[in-house]
Amino acid sequence: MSILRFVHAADLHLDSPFVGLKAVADNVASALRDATFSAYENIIDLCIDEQVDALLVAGDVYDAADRSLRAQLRFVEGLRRLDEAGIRSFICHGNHDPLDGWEARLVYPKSCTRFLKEAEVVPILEEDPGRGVVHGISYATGDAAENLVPSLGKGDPETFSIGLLHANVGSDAAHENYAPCSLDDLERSEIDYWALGHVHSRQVLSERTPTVVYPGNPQGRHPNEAGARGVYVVDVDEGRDVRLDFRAVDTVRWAQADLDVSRTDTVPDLIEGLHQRIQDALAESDGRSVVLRIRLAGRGGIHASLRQPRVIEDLMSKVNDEWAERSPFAWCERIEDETAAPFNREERVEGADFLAEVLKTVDLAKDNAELLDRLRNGLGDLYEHRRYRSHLSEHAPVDDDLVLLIDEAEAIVVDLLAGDDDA
Amino acid sequence: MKIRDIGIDGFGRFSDVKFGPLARSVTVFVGPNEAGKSTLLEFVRRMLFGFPRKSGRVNPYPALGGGRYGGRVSIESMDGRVCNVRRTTGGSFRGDVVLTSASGQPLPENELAALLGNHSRDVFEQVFAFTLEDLFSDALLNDENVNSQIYSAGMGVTSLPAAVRSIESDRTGIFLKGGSSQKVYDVHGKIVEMDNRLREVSNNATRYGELTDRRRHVGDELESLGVRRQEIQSRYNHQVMLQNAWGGWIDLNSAEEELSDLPAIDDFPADGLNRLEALQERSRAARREYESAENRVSDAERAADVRIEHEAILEYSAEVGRLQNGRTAFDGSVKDLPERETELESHRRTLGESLKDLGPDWDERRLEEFDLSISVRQQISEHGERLAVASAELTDARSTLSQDRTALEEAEDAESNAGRQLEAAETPCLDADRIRGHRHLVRATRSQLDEISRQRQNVMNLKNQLKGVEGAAPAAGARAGGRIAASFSFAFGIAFAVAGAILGGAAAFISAVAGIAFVVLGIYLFTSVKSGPAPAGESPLAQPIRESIHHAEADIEDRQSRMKHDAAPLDLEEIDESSLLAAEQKIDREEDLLRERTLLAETLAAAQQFAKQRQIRADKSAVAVEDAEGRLKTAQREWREWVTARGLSDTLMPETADVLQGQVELGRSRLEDVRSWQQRILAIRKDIDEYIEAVEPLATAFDVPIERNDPRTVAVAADRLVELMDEVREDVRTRTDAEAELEDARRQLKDRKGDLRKADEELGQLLRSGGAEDVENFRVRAGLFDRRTKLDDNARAAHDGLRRLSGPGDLLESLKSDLGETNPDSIENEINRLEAERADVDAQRESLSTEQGEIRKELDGLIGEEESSRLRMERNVLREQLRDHARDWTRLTLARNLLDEARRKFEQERQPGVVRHAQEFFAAITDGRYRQVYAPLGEQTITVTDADGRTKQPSELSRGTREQLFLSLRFGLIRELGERTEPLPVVVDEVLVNFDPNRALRAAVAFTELSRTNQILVFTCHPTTVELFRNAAGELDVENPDVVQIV
Repeated sequence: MSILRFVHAADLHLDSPFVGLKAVADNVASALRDATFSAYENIIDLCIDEQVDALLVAGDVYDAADRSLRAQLRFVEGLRRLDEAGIRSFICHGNHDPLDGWEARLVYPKSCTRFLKEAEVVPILEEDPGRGVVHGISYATGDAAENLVPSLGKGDPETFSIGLLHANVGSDAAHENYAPCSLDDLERSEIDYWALGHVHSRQVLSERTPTVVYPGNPQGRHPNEAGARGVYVVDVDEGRDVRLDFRAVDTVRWAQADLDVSRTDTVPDLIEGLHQRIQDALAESDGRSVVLRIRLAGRGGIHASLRQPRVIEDLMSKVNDEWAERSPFAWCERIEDETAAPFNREERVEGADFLAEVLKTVDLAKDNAELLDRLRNGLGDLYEHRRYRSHLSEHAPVDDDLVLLIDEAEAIVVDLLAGDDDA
Repeated sequence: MKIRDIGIDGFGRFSDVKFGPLARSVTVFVGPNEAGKSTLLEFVRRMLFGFPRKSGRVNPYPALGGGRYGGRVSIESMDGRVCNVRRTTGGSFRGDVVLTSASGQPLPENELAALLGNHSRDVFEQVFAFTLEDLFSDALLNDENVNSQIYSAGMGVTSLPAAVRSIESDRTGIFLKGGSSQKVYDVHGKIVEMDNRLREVSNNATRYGELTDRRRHVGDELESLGVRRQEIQSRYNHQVMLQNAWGGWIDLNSAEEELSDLPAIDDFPADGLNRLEALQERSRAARREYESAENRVSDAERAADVRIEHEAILEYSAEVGRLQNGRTAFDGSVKDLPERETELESHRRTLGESLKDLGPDWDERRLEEFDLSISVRQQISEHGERLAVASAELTDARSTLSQDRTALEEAEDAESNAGRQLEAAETPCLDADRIRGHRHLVRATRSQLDEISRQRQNVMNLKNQLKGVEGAAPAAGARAGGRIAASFSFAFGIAFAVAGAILGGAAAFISAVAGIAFVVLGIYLFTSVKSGPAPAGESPLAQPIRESIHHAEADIEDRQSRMKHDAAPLDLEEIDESSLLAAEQKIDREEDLLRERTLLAETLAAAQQFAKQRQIRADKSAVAVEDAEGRLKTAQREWREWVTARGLSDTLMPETADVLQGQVELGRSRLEDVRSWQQRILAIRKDIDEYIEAVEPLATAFDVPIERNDPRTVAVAADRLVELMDEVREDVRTRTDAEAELEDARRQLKDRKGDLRKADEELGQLLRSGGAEDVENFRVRAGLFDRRTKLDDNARAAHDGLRRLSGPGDLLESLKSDLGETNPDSIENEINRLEAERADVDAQRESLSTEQGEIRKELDGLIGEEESSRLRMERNVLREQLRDHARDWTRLTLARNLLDEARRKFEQERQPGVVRHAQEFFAAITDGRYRQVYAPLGEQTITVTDADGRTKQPSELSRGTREQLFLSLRFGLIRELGERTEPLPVVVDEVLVNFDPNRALRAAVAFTELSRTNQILVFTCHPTTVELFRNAAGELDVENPDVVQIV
């Protein structure tokens, strides 16, 4: 029998814009702008429907840098709804919404506990403190570099304790290393459940003693945040065993799909393939709208058509015209053309012609820093340009990305020089 | 491949010309200007690659010298395969081409392309078969097919320059340093614009903070003013309360004062005066109703005590009812009786007339007894029908007899006429058989006559011939005459034969004999003349003719004799055509007479037969008349017997009997009418009498006057009795109703009496309860009590009003105290002062509320705004676009760098083979003056470097050197292409004329050197060129060139 029931959410990033989109239709843009709010509304509805005791939000409720008034107001509005439903809420702030960040003057409902820069331990239910407590702390600034776990103190063996923290456990290099700590740190804390935030992909680092969970963000905002997004409904029984129940709350889902065109000969066939991928993505989205990225791959005759100017854009328009106005909609945000002409590289590189020289140059560059530097010649004109560097300097190709781009440059050269000679 | 020989059927000035065999590796065609060297070069080109499409720029080389356009070229591959190429004009503009092997076997068309190394016409013309003009032109470099060989031959790259251009175009379209129209620039501009707008929008948050502060401050001020206003309102309300209470306060004091002056009445019935008035009215009403009930009882008693005259008639209500019912019938009967009696008299008169019509012996009894049954009518009808049938049959029989007798007379007249006509008709001399015999004789005689005539004509002809034969001189030119005679004989023979065929019959036979004789004679004469001279004397023709004449004349005589004998029955004096015609007419007439007589005889026989038949029929008709007369008499006798048996006149006919029947039937009907009216009149009289019998006793009993014999008095009496009955009934009913009314009136009287007593008792009780002795005293006490009550109410209302204003208890007392200490004027002044103070506070509050509303509105706008969301999303989209453009540009830059890198290395390490070969030739031709030829990779240009290291473009070279360069490039191409494909012949036209002798010799050496792999055909008008090639052969120690003169 459950003695405590709460929803664990994190990284709401309310009103934070989607990234990675090259273009978007008006109705789709509107839906995307509302997507983080809709997901948050779904969380509030879930709390009320499931009659939980509390909602825990582990940081990054919004992006302070956006200075979005709407985000903060809508957030507080949701908390008020919980308050009216008799559900408590516990909030800590992370690197995107630190305490020193911009904040509108808002009045939080009394049932809401906002943890500040000093760690606190707060009963989940004031009238019944024995059912559980929350240890929480917020980032004072946006660059919390120290391990905050020790400051949260030890859990009480007699009371189910929850640690609410925005942190990078294990110093995962894929994420910015804020409030770094180790799983050991968490295990030693004697806290029963670690309600973490910061990592946007859903992860259960430890299932018990303690249970360590990243619920991920409730609404994907980037092509790399594909798949279902949501929160955990957590039930704690009398033996303090934890049962996790993931619930998707996202309203727009990101998806990626590959389409092999090696056997696709005509543009109509290609369009049919694109439609099929979109249909598949919608079928897997549980009735949600989908923002889809499709990667075209394979060597085939269609490559020549795809190389023509604006063909990719026209293909996107074609499929988006078909799907963008539907409900739920599907929006193909990008078609990545990684196709190649029907070209036998292994044979051609052994030849004595000019193209073979190009191919050999590419191969050589991958292990030759001097040659690689020569090939990069001129790139600085753009990436270090005073006007553009603020936007592009961190995107200047290096390492694997540079190699990938050289391969793509080779494909351009092959298209231009070899044509269909080897078809 | 090499050309073995050339055969021109017709091309330009050449016609049916052959060149070859071209066995040696170098052949120099020498000829003066206009000899056709260029024509021959073009012929070779077109034989191998087809005629060009017709165009104003293309010389068609029409076959000016005659011959069929086109010709033949025999070629041989390096491995010895021979192919004869014949091309003439045909369906395609290229001409019809026929390929055959050395043995004449046809070869497939693609064989030629294979032998030509699959090179195009352009390549052949630019590289292998060129003129001086071609050599000077730089078309070589501009020909795509060629320059790809120069620049990229062996590289496997066909479009490097285009690739470089494409990449550079795309690159600079995305980003160009210093550019301001590229995609990156555009997108960045939009991002900057978006950032600016976002900064503007971010001020909303600051504004939100300011507004929330101000909203809080305004809220505090509003709260403070609210408290103050509440205080003012409280004081104001108190003064208003005093003002409102002032009237009540005055009323309370006034009521209490008046009450203290009035006498006390402890108790008085509530609503006493009204109750008193009501009870007094009720008592008066009860008395009126009591008196009314008494009157009603009196009236009812009078009505119930009335006496009714003739009430006993009620016992005869049934009889009076019947009188009433039969009253109308009685009137009808009285009225009908005289009319019916008049009608009876009329019927009787009609009956008398009918009896009179029937006869004196007819009376009513006979009318009734006369049999008018259907059987009697049937019998009359049958008799009538029999008489009619018998009479009709007799009439018919007599008519038939009359007709038959008339027909008999007509038949007998026809018979006698036919007999007279037969007797009058002419009798023919010949019968039918003899007529047929005579017609046959006439036809045979005419035939015989024709034969004799033809025979006579034959005899005449023979006699004329005989005269001609007998008149000729047989001695003159016997041989010639023999020939003539023979010819004549032969001709006569043929003529006779023909004549015989035409004439036919005996003439034919004779002519045939004569013809044969003449033919035989002709043959004889001919042979005689040939063999030797004829005997002297009569013509050998005369005798046979004479014999023929003799035979013909004998035949005529014989025929005439037989004709006369045969025609004897015709009785002709002379037999000729006219007599035969007369004989035929006679036969025709005899035949007509015979046909007429036969017809008359047949008519007579038919008339006789017809008259006989008519006689038989007239006899039969006479018998039938007799039978009909007998049947009529029998019918008449039977009718008379039937009439007599019924007492009727025997002169009565069946038709008259029907009339009698009708009269009897009419009379009987009238008799029945009379009887019927008599019965009816009796019934009417009976009804009248019965009604009088019913009326009379009742009228007597109830004093109603009546005269029995006067139906009108009877009717009046009956009516009076009915009326009397109704009157008595009405009187009885009225009396019964009055008795019931009396009972009800008495009951009502009793009730009203009780009501009156009760009302009086209640009135007394009211007076007692009001402490009054009488009604007037009661009224005085009631007025006093009402005044006290009103004053009490006023005092209580004023008190309640004050308490409502103040509240209970101490508050009321406090109010009274306050009222006691103030007056209306001071209250009014205080109220005015407080209203002014309150208005001031309200104005402040309204101003703050307005500000608060505006703040709320602005805050709502800030809360609801989505612009920043939208801008941030758009900024992200633009950033993504910028990154995409940067990435595209990066790919293109890397691609360009890749090409540069590869080209640099390629140019350094592997100059294309064409250029290397060309460089060798160029160095050799210029004797080392130019050491290097360089073709930058991916560019359509050639540079040369001289011995001093100076690099020059072709345009910087002298004409001769430039031609040597392009010749070297062609050598390089020929060498390069030859390494991979069939080496083609090199055909050149005056290409050495601009070379100095030294370089010309070196060029000739180069050609001769090239001839080791490629056949060389040189066209020139300069004999020195021949020497050049001979010298070159000597230098290389190879066989001398073959020299072919073109004239």
